[in-house]
Amino acid sequence: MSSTIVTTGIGKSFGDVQALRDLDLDVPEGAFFVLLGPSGAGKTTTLRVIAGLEKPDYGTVHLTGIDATEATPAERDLAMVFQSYALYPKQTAADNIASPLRARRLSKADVDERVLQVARLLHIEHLLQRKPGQMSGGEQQRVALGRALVREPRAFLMDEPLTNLDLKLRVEMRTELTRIHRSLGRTFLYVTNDQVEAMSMADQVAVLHNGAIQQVGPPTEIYDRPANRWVGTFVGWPRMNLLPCTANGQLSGNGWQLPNPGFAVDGDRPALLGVRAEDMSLDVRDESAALAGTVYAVEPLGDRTLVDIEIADQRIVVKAPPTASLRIGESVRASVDLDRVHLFDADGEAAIPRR
Amino acid sequence: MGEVRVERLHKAFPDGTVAVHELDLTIADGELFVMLGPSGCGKTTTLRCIAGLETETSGRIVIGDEVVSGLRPSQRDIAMVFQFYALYPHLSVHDNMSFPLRAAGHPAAEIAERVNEAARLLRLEPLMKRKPNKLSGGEQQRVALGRAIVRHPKAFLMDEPLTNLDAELRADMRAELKHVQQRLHTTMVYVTHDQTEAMALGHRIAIMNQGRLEQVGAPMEVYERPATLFAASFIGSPPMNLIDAEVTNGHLTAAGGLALTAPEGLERGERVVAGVRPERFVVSASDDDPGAARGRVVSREALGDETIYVVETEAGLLNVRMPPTVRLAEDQPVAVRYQGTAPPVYDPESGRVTGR
Repeated sequence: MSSTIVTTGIGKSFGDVQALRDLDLDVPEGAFFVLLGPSGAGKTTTLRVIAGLEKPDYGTVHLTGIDATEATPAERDLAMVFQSYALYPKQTAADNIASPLRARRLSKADVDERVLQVARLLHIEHLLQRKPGQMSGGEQQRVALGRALVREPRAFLMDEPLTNLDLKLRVEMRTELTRIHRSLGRTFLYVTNDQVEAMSMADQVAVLHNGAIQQVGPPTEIYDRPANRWVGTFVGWPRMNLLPCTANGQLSGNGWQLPNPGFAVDGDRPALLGVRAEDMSLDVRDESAALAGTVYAVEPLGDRTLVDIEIADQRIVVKAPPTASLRIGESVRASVDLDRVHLFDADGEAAIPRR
Repeated sequence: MGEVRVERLHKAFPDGTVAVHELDLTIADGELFVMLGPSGCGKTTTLRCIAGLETETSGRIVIGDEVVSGLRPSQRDIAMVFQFYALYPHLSVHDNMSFPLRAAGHPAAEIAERVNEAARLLRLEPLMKRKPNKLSGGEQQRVALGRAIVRHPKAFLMDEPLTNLDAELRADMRAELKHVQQRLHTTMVYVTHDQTEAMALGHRIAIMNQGRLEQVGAPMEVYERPATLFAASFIGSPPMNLIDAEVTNGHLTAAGGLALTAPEGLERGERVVAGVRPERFVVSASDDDPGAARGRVVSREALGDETIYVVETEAGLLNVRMPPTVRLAEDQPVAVRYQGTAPPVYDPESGRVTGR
């Protein structure tokens, strides 16, 4: 597959702050590619460098195989969608959507036809004659999206477009965006700090932290095989439990011990055991792979119950069925699915592979 | 005793808006009671009336066995927590925690005892000499909680105290609050717009909408059997599926032949709205069950520990929660089947739960 966007060794500093360091990205044609990271990770800077709004200190940007590092934003033929909708308040939705086409000297019939196509795709035909003030936030966001779609650019760059919407709308818009991406078949490069958005929409996720790529892969791979401690705890909710331990033939921590399920360590290695809440169970079948502690808090969420367990001086969270009934202070055992645990180096924090 | 009673509380503002309509609530001694609703539902106004920060238009507030209407906030023996954090930066953890007691003129021995007790409960002992800027966010939160605890109030009133924290701290602090409240057994009234927080924390949840009560119940009760369509759509993510259905021969039948277990106490031919949680549906590539609805996957969200499918059927778009091991593709033809006991059903006119 050819690549729509390739950045090679991008570096960018603002004063003393190094925002990006040697950033390599390869966004395949037609992908829904998500750049995921906390605020300050360098996501927006990356997007702005690709769009040509920011000049990198070093490194190159290639668009569909052509070096575009020196190209103006307009020459790059990319459409940006931001979290603020920035619609023209005095124009109707139809005029807002049509605005990028004005410079193109298309006939009115062609413009109308194109606007209608986009409106159909976004399910906003009924809003075309309204002005932004007469629309909800979600509707305005769709119009803003329509204005980007109408151009048929090389790729769409989206900077946290759902951030200002309420939870319910955000969930709906996630579904919408995946559907729109599929029917367009165009490249989407989407920036977010919300790991649920990344998990639910992306074909490929690049996790960014401190201006550097931590891991690139399909969402399930990032979730199931995090490359380091940082990715492991950033992706997934509740947060992955981390237990300091010494790894050798066993994994031994403060107040617990588990067999080493095949992590490649020589001698005694200080490490962090990573276990997701759903990879433990209060229904203990295998006594040798269980952690013992006391119940710290019980949090029913409806479809599941989170049980906080205190083990010596640490707390872990276990996902239990909604029927679980436990009391604070009760002794409890949690069995661990050893096939699904992670081990991270205590210093470098990289994932330690299995033999 | 820290029972809190809200009796026919009515609050109208000078501009004529009615924030709370004739509200009755009884919050038991030692209960962690959550008031949940969208902004403008009246939950914060109710809390502020309990605290004495607003004066009720009519009705009254009883804390313990004392009618507190008309008393100033400081006379009500309650601790109000707006949001944790606001620590005095120049004071140590110990001094931050003892401050409210010193200000109230308690004897030194008693102050020491209460502060030590709170420090033990919150595992702050090793940090007592530090200044706030030497603490992590979570530690600062625990100190702020400690400062409320040392006062031994009849009740804690909390207004979205976790809202400004990042997701990770919020989850930690939620468990901390629940643990501490249960240990102290002090009544806590907690206001939030976040349904996850409400479910996780509350012994009981009151769902409010437009100044009125929609439902009061234990978290699982509210989750399993929302009393109104409003409560049904407010609790749970993805939200409950609300499906138009008709009572037929022993079933509830929706468009496209989707069959649901019928509750008792309904007439044949009656039209209702059934409320089905996403985990009560099963989606599969094919299904011979005659009560399954045929459809097409519109979207799949693989969230790691679960996958949410949105399936387009004649009965509408259905949200289905499945384990991550099930792999169905977008656009794939599928079948959705209901499993389990009867779902709650609603009168389409009144929006209230009906049947048994």
